[in-house]
Amino acid sequence: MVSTPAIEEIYNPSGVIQHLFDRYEGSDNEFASVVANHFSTILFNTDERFKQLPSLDIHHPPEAYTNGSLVRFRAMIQDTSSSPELYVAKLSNHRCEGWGLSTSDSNETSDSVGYQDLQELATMWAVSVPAESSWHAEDILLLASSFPAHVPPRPHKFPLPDVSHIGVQIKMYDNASAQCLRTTDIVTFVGILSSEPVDAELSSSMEVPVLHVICYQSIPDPIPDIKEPCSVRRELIRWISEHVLGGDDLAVEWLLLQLSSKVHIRATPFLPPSLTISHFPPPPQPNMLPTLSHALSELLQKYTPIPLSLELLNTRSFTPESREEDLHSGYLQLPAGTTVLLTESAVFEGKVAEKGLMNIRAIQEIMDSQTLDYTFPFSRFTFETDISTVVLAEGRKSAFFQTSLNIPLQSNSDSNLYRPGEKVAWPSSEKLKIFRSYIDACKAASGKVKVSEAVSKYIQESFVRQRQEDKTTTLNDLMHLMKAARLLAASHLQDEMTTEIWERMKELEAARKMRIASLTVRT
Amino acid sequence: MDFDGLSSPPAPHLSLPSSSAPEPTPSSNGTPRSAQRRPVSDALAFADDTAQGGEDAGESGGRRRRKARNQPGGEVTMVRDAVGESVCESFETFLKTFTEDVALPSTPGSDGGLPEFTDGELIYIQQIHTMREYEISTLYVDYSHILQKDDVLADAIKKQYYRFLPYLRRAVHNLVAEYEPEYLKVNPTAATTDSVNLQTREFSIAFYHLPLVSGIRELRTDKIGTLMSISGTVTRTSEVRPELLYGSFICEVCGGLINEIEQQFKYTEPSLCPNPTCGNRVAWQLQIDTSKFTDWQKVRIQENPSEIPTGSMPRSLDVILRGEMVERAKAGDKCVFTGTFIVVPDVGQLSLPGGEKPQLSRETSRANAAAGGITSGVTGLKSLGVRDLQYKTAFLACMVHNADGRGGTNIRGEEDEGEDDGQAFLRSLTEPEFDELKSMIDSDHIYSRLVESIAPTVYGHEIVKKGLLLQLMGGVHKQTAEGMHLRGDINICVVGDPSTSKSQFLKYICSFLPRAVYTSGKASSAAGLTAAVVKDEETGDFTIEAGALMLADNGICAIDEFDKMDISDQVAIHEAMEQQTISIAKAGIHATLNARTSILAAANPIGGRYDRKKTLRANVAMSAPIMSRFDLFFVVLDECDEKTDLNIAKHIVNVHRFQDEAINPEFSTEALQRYIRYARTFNPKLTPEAADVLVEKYRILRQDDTSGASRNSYRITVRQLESMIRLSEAIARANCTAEITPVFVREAYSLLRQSIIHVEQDDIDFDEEELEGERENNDNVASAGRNAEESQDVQMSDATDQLDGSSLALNRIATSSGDGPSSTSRLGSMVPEASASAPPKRRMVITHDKYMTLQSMIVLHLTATEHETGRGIDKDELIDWYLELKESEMRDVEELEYEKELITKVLRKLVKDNYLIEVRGDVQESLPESVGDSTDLSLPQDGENVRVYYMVHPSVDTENSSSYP
Repeated sequence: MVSTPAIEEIYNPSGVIQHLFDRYEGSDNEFASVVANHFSTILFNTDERFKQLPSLDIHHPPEAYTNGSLVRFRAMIQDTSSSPELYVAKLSNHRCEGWGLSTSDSNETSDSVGYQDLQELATMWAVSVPAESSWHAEDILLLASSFPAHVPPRPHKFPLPDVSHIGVQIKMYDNASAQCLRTTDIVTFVGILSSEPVDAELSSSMEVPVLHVICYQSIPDPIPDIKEPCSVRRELIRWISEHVLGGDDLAVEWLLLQLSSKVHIRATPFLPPSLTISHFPPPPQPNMLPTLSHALSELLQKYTPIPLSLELLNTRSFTPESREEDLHSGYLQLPAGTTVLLTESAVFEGKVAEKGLMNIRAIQEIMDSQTLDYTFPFSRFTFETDISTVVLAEGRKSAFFQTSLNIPLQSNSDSNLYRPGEKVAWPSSEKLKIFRSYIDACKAASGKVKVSEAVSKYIQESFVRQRQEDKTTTLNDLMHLMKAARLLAASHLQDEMTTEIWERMKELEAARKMRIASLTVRT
Repeated sequence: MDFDGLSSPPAPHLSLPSSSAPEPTPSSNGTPRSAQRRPVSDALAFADDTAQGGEDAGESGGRRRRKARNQPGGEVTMVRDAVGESVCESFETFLKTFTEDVALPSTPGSDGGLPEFTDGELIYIQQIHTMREYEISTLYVDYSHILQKDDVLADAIKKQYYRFLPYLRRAVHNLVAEYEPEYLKVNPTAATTDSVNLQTREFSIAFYHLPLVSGIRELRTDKIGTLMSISGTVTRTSEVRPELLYGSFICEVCGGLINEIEQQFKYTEPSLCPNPTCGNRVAWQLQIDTSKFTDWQKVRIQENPSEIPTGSMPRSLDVILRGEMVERAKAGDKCVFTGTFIVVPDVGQLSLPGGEKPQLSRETSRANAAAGGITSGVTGLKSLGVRDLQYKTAFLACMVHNADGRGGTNIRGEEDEGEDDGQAFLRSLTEPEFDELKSMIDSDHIYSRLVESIAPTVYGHEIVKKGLLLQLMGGVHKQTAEGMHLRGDINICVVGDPSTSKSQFLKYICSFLPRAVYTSGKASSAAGLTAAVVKDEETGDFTIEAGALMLADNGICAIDEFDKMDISDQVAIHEAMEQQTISIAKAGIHATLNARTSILAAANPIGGRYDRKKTLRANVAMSAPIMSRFDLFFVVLDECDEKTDLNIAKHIVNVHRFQDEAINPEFSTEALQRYIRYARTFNPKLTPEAADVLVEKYRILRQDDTSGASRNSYRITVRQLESMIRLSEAIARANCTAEITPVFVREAYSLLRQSIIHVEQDDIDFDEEELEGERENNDNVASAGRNAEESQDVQMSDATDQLDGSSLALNRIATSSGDGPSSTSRLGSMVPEASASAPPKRRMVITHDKYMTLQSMIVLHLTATEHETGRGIDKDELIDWYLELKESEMRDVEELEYEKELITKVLRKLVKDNYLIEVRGDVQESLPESVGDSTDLSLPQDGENVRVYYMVHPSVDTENSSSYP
């Protein structure tokens, strides 16, 4: 008995909407939110019902469904700049309109529609979540299917070029809640799928998949609970060090801090650091991704490598740009929490054109202030990002970027840093799962680290002492150490900074500084 | 009263917004004629013979009301819109009676012609005459005039603009018929001979000066049909096309002519031939020459950056311009459009039979949509039989004008304009925002509290924060009578040791101000837009050389590592700073671009650390002309001092401990931004008292400058006077007042003074001196000499006056004590006062300044005595003289002892430094009373009782020093 209404909601959504409409007596412009509430209470309440909904994803492209099916679509909002559309909210015979609902009476002319019956709907463009690791996406997806490869209709609206994805036009009838959605948000939409000509000027009209949204959900992933974080931490460091970074424990420590960082408060002292792993040996063959990249894609939910080359910098867009009122995406239009690995091994001597320069600036901007400029005609708009950046440089520093951290890699001479993915000795899948959850937990913890009165006193005194001994110690050092120490505490999943963490942080920092100094002397 | 003050700003003198409509000129026959006419009967008569009417008012509010005159099927009774008729009437009355004179009561001329006041000009009647004269068909109506005169009418027009538009136009038509009857027909001479060619002229009304300008985002369905103003940036303009308003058709069956078929959103043919015997419904031919066309243009606008909620993307909207409004908006312009929001069914483009291609669809016809559903007006899920008619929204504008500084009106310039601006800004605020702003303005000490809210993550540095606040406020942009622009932007340079908070200040500004650009001098180039990646031979690294600098027009450009910037780029910046333009010469193209930006620069000192013994100029690698373009220089030093260190450490740790709360300033960023936006609408002026203070302060600065002891890093010129004015203006703005009071000038002066960095000489530590012996003082003299040289070569290129270059031995007491607290708080926490650092056990340490003062005192005294007596002064006598001078300042014996010891040491040092010569022994044994004094006791180091005389060293240039008593 309990599940019957849910079935009804899933298999005959339009009937349910009409039914709701018949009983509805409030004002017209609030009807959409009533529908949204009704469906979300029924669908999002239990996982089981939600899973019953067919999913729209790269394995189940829009072609796989008939028009009018109710589907769910986990997506990143790419473009919210398109103008709202008007639709007829109700017809004279008290039929409800919208959501692509069908009415048999098609003879009615526009004259019988009063303007007071028109309502606005918000339109936006959504794409499947870019840079999402396949293991994470598969977590949601249950069955695979064998449809022919999906050709996305408007590929320029996906951040990563030449990656298969789904792009769908979203129509939101619940206007008020549509205002809360921002670009790069990750949202699970539930709606009625159809196909309509795209509303874009000057581009030849083409049919694109359209999702008439009934309700949506955007809840963050639950924070996993990790038992014995310290031992997981040790294991993870040992594994990365051994199999990925050629035995360099120190570099892994710093890498781990970088991976646990996340934007919690948008003020300069709290922004996540950016990391350069310098002296990273060049690949044996060009265009090879380091093992690190494979490892990160297994460990992180959202990760993408960007193999920098002058050609890529000069020709590709890194920032979104609106052309002909169509927001073209760029590499950096990524959802919050994405880690980007920038490799510089393919950079050779040459000229950086204006575009390349703008791209470099955009990346630097993300490192410095976690913002990205979107270009619109005659103006630029700044949007907030949460992208963690790791740069692999061959030299002693990155050619393009000033990162807040630099750790020269000292790997064992016999280690292969470019082992292809299939030759890596992966940990068991359970272990891998724990590692993944552990990193997620670290990210969540990094915003919660508290500093007690006693510890802060200890830190202050230790800093003043250090200043007395070594006059080159500056305030920036303290700020930097504070930031890193918080991350270190978070990576132990502690919500309180301790003097041990502080001392350990100082050791790590000293080791890092020494390594940089020793390399400078050598060259 | 309030209502008036808010929504009807003072009417400008006959000004039409935007420039294209010619000024109405007084016409010779205007006023007398108008007084004789009887408006009502005329209107009725006109209405009668044009057979006007409207459809049922209630059916659909947004529908076009106007029906074609002489329409076929005229026998059908037209339903009259009674309200519309009365609107028409009162609008006509308004146009006929409105005069500039606001004070006169509005007398509705409902029955007996016009009231007798002909002293005020009937501006709209004048305009009607002008329209004929210049052959224009648009009547420009200031909405605030209507509001002032007849708020019922104003309200009716505003709320149901689209409904009443035909009636309003009819009123204009009536007026033209009354005052310029010949102008009513397009071709009056032809009309008399051939009635077929008789075409009525179409008039339109352009409303402007609406009290509120909305953003695109605020256009909702409830706004449909109302009169409103929206602002936006034009992104695209279509070509101007003819639009068919009324078509003339020839029936292909019977050959009859049917005129004035109104076109509704699409190409509309007559439904039935009026010839009773014909019955044709389909075969029609358009008569181009007798059909009525108007110019038509579609403009795409996009929301202005300031109107978008953070995190949202700009929306776009189509604006339809007709008639004389076409070609008024150019791509890139910020414009304000007045008109109404409309919804039209999205009918596809139909092609006209006969190959003619007039614009048929009124609105947003998209490039011919290929999908089959479109032409039928029905699109969507055809497969499912879904009927999903699409509607498009657009804005039908009757008036366009530039909202930018670029076009005629300069927002940054005129005062009354600014006042309007402030009011307009206030109106755009929500209730709580307004209350917050109001309480901020009304509260005490707002200036210092604002300063505290700037860059909350940075500890201390109040002075830099003050500077940043003033930079955000800005001075007033002025234009001289000759049309020269004087910048109001305040440029600031922060010089300081590495890893002090310089960059944090820059980043704060960039996060604070939307139009701010952060760039690093190392990787930027002002003119060049390309850069090269080169391989560093030595290290094997690839590095990037030079880069792009995007200048933030109308914002702040934050340049980090300014000193690392290429000289040629510094020159370009220099131009930007003074002329507010930037020239680009590249690939044979010379362009001058606007760069109205304030510069916030950060520079590292030469050699990594700021050397306090050197001048500012010697510390930064910047050319003198560029330095002089900065209004304020701040030096941020990294002081190794246990106490400060602890405080700063505490601050940093606390920031991490309490996160948000720790850096939560009194005013949120948004509140601050609103406050600054409001404050910037003020254009403060100097009060006479303030002007006097300004002159006096400038004089002091100049005088101080000429006295070498202060060792300014650069000469005070008129430029600093301008700076002082700008700073005073900014301070007045910060206090939200339009008057610059003497207090503000003093604050500006003290800021300027603190920013003109004085050379910090090492303190003279006599105890050290004694230990270190002879070697030290040679160094000291040498360094003093070097400094003198340096301060000379920093003379500004345009410093006009010849000032004497002597920088030694001058008395600075007057000036340094004259400016009281400002000199003691100099550099605030950055450079702790040297004298304050004197340890408790009173080591013999005095500041270099004091030493110089003492030196000049003694030298002068000796010189004077030598002139009189021809010989030197006995040591004890000299000391007594000094102590007598100091008597008033001393409180107890200890102090006396201290001073005595001090003067002795000073004398000894002066001898060492070759200012004095010491003559020992056998002069006269006179003045026994002085021996009995405590001199002997106080000079145990001397050890012996030999008399010592002092004389001025022959090498000291007494002539020069005596010029400053």
